[in-house]
Amino acid sequence: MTKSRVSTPQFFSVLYLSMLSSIFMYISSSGISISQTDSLLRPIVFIFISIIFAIPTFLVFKTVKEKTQTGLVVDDKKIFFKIIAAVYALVYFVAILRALARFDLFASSELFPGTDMTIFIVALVIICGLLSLLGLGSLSRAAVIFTVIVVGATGFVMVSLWKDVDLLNFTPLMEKGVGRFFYDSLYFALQGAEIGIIMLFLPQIKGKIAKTYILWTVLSGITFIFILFFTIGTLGAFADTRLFPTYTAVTLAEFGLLERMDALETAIWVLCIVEKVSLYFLGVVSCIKFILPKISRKLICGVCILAVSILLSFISADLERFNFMSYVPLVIGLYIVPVLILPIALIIYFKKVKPYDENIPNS
Amino acid sequence: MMKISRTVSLILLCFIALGSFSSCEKAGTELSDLMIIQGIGIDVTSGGYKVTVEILNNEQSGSPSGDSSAENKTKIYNATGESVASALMKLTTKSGNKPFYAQNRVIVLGETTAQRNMGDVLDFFERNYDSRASQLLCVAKGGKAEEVIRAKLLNDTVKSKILEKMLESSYEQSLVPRVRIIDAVNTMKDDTTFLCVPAVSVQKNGENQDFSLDGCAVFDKDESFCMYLSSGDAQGLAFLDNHIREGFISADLPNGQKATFVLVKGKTHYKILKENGRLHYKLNIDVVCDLEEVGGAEFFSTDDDFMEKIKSAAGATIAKTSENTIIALQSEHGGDAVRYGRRLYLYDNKEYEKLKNNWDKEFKNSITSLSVNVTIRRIGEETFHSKK
Repeated sequence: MTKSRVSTPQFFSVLYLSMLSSIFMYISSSGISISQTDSLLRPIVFIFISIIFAIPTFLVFKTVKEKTQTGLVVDDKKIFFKIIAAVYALVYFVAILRALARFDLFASSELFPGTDMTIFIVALVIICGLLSLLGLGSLSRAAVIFTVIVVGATGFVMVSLWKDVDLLNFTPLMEKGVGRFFYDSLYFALQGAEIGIIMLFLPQIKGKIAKTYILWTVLSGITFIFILFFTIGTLGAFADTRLFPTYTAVTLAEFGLLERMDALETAIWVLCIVEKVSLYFLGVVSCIKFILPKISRKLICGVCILAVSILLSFISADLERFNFMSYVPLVIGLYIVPVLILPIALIIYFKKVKPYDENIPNS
Repeated sequence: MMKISRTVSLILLCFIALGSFSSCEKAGTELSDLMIIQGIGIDVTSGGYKVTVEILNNEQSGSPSGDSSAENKTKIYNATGESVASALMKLTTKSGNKPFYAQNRVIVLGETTAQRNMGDVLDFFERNYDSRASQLLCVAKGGKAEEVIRAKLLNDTVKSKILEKMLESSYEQSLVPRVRIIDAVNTMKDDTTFLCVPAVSVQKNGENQDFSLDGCAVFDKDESFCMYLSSGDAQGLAFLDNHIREGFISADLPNGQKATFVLVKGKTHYKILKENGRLHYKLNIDVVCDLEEVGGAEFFSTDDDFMEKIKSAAGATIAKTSENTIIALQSEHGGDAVRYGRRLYLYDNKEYEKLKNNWDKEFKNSITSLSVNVTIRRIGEETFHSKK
């Protein structure tokens, strides 16, 4: 794990971009409508769930924050921590595959329809791998600049859709019942698997983390509501027929002579994906480095790049494999394991064993 | 190593960012190798569909001499197939180039096609990656789509562009609704709304031909053609369905003379009541307009009197136009093309759920009452007191 420390706004800029990439390339699960007005309330549930579910992570951090500066679960060489690190690595390796498989589908459907995007995607994997080697500091500093660009461009494009918003495209609230609303909202909230990775980087962040975390969830939620309002308002039920409804809404945006703002917007969205995958790479490489300390980070990163590239080429060839990456139990697993199960396992471990602060010298 | 990583990743990032600017088809494809479609006409034949497309004449457009008179700006091709998709794919065998739909402006449905299931016809355009959701739809009234696409206009120009502009400006003038692929799909997915698609015909103009807007074709909930609305009746749709843009209205003044107004903006407010088992839609239409012309001499006693008279005349015209539209839609073959059902769905969902299965009857049995508030914003440069 790189020792560079970052401020909370810098770190949460990376997470914000990462969350934005989820909404830009959001694919509804079958049976969950994006065109319902309920979609505008789901981000509120997302905010509450993100805050409540982060409690175990912050509890763990509170227990150990004075004892570590270089990583949370990766300081102690005990087998328990190696297992924890291995699970983290596996979860975020799959998360990388899921994020890039979705981007592959997006690129081959919307950017260059029907084109084999393997080279494009492999290049993206290499970039993200190399960027992860630069460390959290570089990623975070870049994210601050990217956030300004992405928010500015997306805000402009969405507002230019105002003239196409039709209020009759909205639907009555909770039309399918409160139970169904919460089920759909829960699925929506699970898109934010970023929360889990905070655990790996908490010791490297300086500043008021909890406060900034709450601010981040609220801002992410508001951004979702903003984007979904324009998507539903302009597309209505048509949104449910589209693979990438947010992108379809953007294709309608015009402002004066600027008629193809989707081209600009998609180029900007790539920045979000790059930040997201680079952060995941950093997490995966750090965890593997902890398990196998004698192997250099560069080699681990190289192997990860190769493995991700090969697996993505395999997934890309068949839509069924894409569908598997959106399989609900997989999505739940990618969220629950790092956000709840692993922190709770650590809490239980620290309560029972309590050797952590004795074995690890204060660095 | 860090420096190398940084440099390599920077170069690759630039490559990815540039690469993600979506372009016209596959990288490396020359424009001249693409069949850049501007308009598509779809007619039904005994064996399936016949498509007629207007494409840009790339060789002419890109000629070094820039000589636009040597050849036409566009070319027309047609092909037949069992489905719309297969017919369009066969175009390649005629031109040698691959069809490119992203620049398509308008889809014209022949009258026979309109009488088929609209959903089947549009599925290709919903699914195709290139096809944009904002393409406009229209129906060739009383004829074939091919006749519209092949119309011999006065100037050598892109006919589909003219047609697109005509449809757009008619929408801006509040004459007909704008129907894009999105609007058609949304209406088809709605349980109660009928779809109104602008109808066009080709009129003779000396040696040449012109496009003419000819009301709207109305499609029922099952996506089947049911009737035409005349141009006059189609005008009321904007007031009843709250998509008043700009446009003009002519009103009869009490002395028999005419006043013409330009609509600046407008909004319709709805109140839905249930009276004696019937739905009652109370519409309050607010319009702002500028006075453009008053025929004849001024004879009103005061400015206020004059203003009241012309406001009242404009309001009466709007109310009459809207009433005629409702009467036409509530006729035997008509249906809810003004989204009354959708409004009830949002306003009183429980009532809607009770009525939606029998919506046709409910709509035809519903009462519409209109009140129109007209605001005159400007009267032009002439005062009220100018005697002629």
